[in-house]
Amino acid sequence: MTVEVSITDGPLPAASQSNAPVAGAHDANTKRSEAHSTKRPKRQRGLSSHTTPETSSTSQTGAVLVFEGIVRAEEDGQRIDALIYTAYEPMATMELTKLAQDVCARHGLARMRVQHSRGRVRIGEVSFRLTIGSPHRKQALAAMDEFIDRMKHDVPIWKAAER
Amino acid sequence: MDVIVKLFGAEADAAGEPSVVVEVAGGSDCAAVRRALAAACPSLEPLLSHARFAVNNSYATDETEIAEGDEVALIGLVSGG
Repeated sequence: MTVEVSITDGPLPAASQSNAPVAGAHDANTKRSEAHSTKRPKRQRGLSSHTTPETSSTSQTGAVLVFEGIVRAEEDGQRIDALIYTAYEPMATMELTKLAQDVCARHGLARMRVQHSRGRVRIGEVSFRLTIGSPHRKQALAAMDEFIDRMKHDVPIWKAAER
Repeated sequence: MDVIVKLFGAEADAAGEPSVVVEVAGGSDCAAVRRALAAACPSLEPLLSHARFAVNNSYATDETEIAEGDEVALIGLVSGG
């Protein structure tokens, strides 16, 4: 089991440096090229993961889930410009780490990465990302729900709307 | 002894400060600090029943004793994610 936790200033960077397409788009493009070509289609070796290699390369991982929390244009029914996140450190990182370790153990996960922003995050930007690597889909889905619910109850991070 | 209680979110807004200093007897527990906070800062009182204390970066109970120099924080409703 591997757990990584980080709280960093500003919006989170893109999930992947690679431009690998998502599964559906990849399938569609492949089918179209085959239909318009007389050449023997290239053998497909499997879909590229759009997740980070270190998450998906472990032999125990059969499912990878990525959840991204994105700042909406409205908060409590009112238009906002951004959210300002405050974290009580080092307790916030300590609580995220304890929570990640507990959820990984309870659901038999191989890997979890938690990334959270502090400071200003504008509309449309990512403020939270949870990446889970698990042997099986059901455990990963259950773990994701549980982690986020417990984070919103226990981890000392606050957001305030900037209007 | 004086205890500096760090505040965040709605509690900091209610108090108008990022921390409040309260005076309690040596060996006091978090329950005593809670009562002292209500007396020192009445605007915090409606929020205190829902808030937890953290002592030295770990959640504490009302029975947790505070020692001189401990870092004490009032943790109200959090809103990460």
